[in-house]
Amino acid sequence: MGERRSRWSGALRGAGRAIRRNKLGLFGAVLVLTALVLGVCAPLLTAYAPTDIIRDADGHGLTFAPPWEHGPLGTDDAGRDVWTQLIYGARISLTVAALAGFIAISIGSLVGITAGYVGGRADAGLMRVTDVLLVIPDLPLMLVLIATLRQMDLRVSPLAVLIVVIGLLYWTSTARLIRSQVLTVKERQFVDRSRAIGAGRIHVVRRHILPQIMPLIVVNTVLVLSTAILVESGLAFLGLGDPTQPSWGTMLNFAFDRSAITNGAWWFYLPPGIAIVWVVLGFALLGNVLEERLNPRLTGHHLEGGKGMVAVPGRSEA
Amino acid sequence: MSRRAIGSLAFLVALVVAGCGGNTQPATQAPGASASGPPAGASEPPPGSGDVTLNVGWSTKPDTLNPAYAFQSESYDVFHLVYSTLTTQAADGSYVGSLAKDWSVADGDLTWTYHLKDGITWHNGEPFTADQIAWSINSIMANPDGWVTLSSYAAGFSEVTAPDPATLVIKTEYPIANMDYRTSFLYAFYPPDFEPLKSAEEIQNYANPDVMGTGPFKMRSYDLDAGVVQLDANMDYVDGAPKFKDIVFQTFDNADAMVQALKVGDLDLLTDVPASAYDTVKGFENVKAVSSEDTYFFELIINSVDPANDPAPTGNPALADPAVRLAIANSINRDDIADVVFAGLAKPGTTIIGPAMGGGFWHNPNIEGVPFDTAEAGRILEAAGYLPGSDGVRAKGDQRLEFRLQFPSSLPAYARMADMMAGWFAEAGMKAIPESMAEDAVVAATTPAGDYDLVLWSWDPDPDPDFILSVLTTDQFVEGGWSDSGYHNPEYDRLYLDQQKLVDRNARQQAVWKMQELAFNDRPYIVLNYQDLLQAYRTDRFKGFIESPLGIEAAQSLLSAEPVK
Amino acid sequence: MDRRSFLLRKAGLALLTILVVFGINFVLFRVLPGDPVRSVIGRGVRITPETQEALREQFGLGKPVFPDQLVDTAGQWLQGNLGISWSLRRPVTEVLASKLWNTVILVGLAQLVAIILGVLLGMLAGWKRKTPLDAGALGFSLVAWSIPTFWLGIILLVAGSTWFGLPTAGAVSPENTGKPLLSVLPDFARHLLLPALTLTIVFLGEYMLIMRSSIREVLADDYILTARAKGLSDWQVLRKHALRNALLPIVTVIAINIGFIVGGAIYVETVFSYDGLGKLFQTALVKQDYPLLQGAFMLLAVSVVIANFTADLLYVVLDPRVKDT
Repeated sequence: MGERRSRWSGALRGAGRAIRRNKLGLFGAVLVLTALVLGVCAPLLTAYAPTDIIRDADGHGLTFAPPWEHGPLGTDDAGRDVWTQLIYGARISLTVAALAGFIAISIGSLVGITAGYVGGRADAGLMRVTDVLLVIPDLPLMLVLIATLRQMDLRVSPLAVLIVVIGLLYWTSTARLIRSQVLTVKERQFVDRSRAIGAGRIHVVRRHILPQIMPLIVVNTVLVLSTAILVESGLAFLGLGDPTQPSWGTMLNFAFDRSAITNGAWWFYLPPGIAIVWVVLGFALLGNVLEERLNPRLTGHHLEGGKGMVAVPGRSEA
Repeated sequence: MSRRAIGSLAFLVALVVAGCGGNTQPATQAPGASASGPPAGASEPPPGSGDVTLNVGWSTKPDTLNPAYAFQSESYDVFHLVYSTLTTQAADGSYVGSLAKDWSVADGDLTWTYHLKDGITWHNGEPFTADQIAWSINSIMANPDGWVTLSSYAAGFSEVTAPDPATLVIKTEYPIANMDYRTSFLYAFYPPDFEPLKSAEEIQNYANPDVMGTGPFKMRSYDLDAGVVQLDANMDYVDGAPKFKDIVFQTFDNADAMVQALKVGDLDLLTDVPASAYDTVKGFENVKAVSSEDTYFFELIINSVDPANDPAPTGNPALADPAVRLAIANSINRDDIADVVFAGLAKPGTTIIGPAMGGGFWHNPNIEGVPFDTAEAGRILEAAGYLPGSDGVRAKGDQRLEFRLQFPSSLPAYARMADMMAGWFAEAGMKAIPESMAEDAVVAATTPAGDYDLVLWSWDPDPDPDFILSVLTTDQFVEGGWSDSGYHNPEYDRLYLDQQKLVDRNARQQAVWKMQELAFNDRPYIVLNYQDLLQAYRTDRFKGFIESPLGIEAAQSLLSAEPVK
Repeated sequence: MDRRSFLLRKAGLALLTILVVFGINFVLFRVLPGDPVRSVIGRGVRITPETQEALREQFGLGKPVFPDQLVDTAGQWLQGNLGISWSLRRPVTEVLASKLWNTVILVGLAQLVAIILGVLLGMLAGWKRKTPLDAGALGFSLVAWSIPTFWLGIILLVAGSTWFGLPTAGAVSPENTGKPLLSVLPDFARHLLLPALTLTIVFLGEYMLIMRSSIREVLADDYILTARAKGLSDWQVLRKHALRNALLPIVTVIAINIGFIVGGAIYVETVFSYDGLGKLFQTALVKQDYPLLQGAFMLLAVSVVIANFTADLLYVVLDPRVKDT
């Protein structure tokens, strides 16, 4: 029990050390943490609720008020405080990304471990599925899936649909990575010895393979998260988010559709974008640093392009 | 550089070079082969019409310029300029003659006789005769599945003939109350263009490249992929030539881009300025922002489906209680919605027929909106037995006042309204849960499933009350019908059929007013706001537009407009 | 494995993938609940339920999905007939062809510039380690990679139109519609500038990062040290040894990204009202215009498959060391 825990947390401690040593990594960690803190402590950092409408002396809604009239970031098209939207939006953006990332990592790990460890037909089959998924352009496929699910009136929030769809499409890089590593580890001797004394498959996977791939999963999680935030913001921008629980992407959707540009309301369309860059950059820096320190030298891992990339997930959807 | 890299680059370059040789759009040289009209420059602008072009900005592009199958209102912008009709609506809401100089009805209101004006010609110079418009209307009547969008305007016609080249006679099966409105949508299109088309599919698949008509403007060229339509002034137009050379319509998918184009002078006229941009547009130099009342309204739909319906409706049963409906009406601050969501550019609404329809003739002015008073709402609910629970939400027995408030995701304004309503409802002890849905899902949930509590939606009514009145009739609550509320009131239904046949305007008005009263009191809809029609044009380029609910791009307005010297 | 069987296997896979995509394509769209007829005609258009029924017949929606609709569609497609778009009443092939080049040119141009700049700048950055140039390049590329495409587009739209008077919508000005591109090149170029710039920056981030890291990896290899020990200058080292191997990963990415050219500009097309396949796809989706949706989707997927296969083809032709992965 203690031994197993120390193997898993060993990966995390290794991660922590890597981050502290590298300035960029530290910077990335700071970026991510500030966003997290702002989101978690949102109610403490603002006097307003996200749906509160700021009014002027005559009781009219104070729409598109600049920051010098109503700080710190002015109001939006419906007279709501932009700063409040921004920090509550952090909750939505980060939560959706985290849940979608969790689904993607879970599927990817499962597929990768199964393909790598079981091999044979299962491997071939799973890799074919991965190939087909990689070939279909992600954004059009996501748009179609989202449209399908939303028309079914499943009585779930549009955010749940986003989470599921993003999770279903972004597991391929994880799967390939895990599979490679499992194939490598499988050859090692302690695995053979374990099987020789009659250990079951699942036992072998849990005790010997998983600890070896944990560092990889940690790294990959961070990078998948950065992609998930980007993708969610894009889909929300297209209007597929939940307007009653605005994420940063949804804020930009409102800004774009409600004439923020014409009204020169830069305080409404700049901050959410900056927030997205802030968090994505943070995760990307973290991911890069971790990848440098924790990955064994894999031949071919960043020689794959597009969705198969680890170090820099592709921007195939533009 | 490695050979592999060169290979890939070569592939890429080849692709780009091949692409540069192509056009942005399909070949426009062959009329009928694509969605473009005759090539640009095919008709030189006649001399003496000035050399000024009116540049108009659309926010959506026409879907097709075939009148049999056009659903987009921008298509109708073009039709009303290129095609003529027997009658047309004037700025004050009345109907005046366009092809017809006068008309009368006789024979128990069953025979309509129209006398055409002299000197009407087609854009190709041929004279226009009555048998040609008779042919148009007869084709529509003969093939309603082909003439999908126009067939309803000829409903109830029994016979259309042209006893002489300047007279048209329409016989109807029953007295038609809104005949002038009907004839204002029955376009006179050029028979030789449509004669070869026999089946419904053929009629709909016809591209109509020439759009040959008799209207004040003639088609020069169009490209539906780009959303561009170019019209020349018709110097031989029977009611006088336009005072400028031509019109170019351009489509902008992004409102900010369109507004910017107006600001820098790339556009002269915007047909649809978003409410949130209007104040800024007003402040532009050399630009006049124009607002007029409009019949477009937003409403809250309360599930009114008959519980005996099959499938059974799933709405909260408390919604059948008139006290609950009244409390809901009391809990909506329509002024605030107009202020916050529409930047003040909307009027608080009462009935489904706004004051802008037909110059105010059809709106029932005696109906007053329910005032915003959540305290009063609370009292009404209390008196009806809905007492607050531990979470503040009122309930009577196990009937909780908790409602799903659904709305289409297509328009951000709905989300804003929903959030505001949730707040007000809470004050009165009700709970509204806003839910954004795909537009199709909203359709599926309402008609005829009745699977909803409250829905936020909107309507863009026709200029005549008939259509918007029909959406609250029992008959329309069928698959493919227009009733989303499921409202079923036999008296309302009876009055609907009556008003269709009351040729006497005042008698019809009484019926229409009564219907509004019934609908208002039963509250299948709570009308929130009438959205203003917001437009703008450059004052340093044009003057003389007629500002009315018809819009400054309407035919009469453009005929009155002239360039600023 | 010898070349011929490698190619055959890849060709087989490509074909299989296309078939699977067709199947998914078909099922996905036909499974979409809701009424396409109502979606196409919208709300507030007076059509009787009977006429809607007739339209449904015309759309072929009356027949059962399996096998009738599937067989009909498959049969048509094999003849090269992608059907008629319900909302536009024109052949799907014609609609797709009219938008295809707009998107290809936009994305192709951006990719080209991004590749060239990415390779050069990434190379410089990787070579000149630990200099301000490297740090600057790394910073720029990381930020470029992290920027949401649509947001960058909005910023450039505002800046470009306000400060430089660049157009804010369309591929050409209205008076130039329908003319061959080469004859209106200046106008087209002006309209293309901002959207292409947006995409270039976004792609550039990725290419610079890849190039930089692969140069760094290669430069750390043993045989490079050997070459330097032999007294070769930096430039000679780079040219003769490092470059060839450092370019390999980026070539892989390029080949794959080429396939995504066709579908790769949805956000940019939305922000700049650029009339291409991306916007077409979205409109078709909203209107549930199945023939158009299916056609567009197949076009996007098939172009990726073909590009991947072409890349495999090129490898076989150009690299004798090709192995099966």
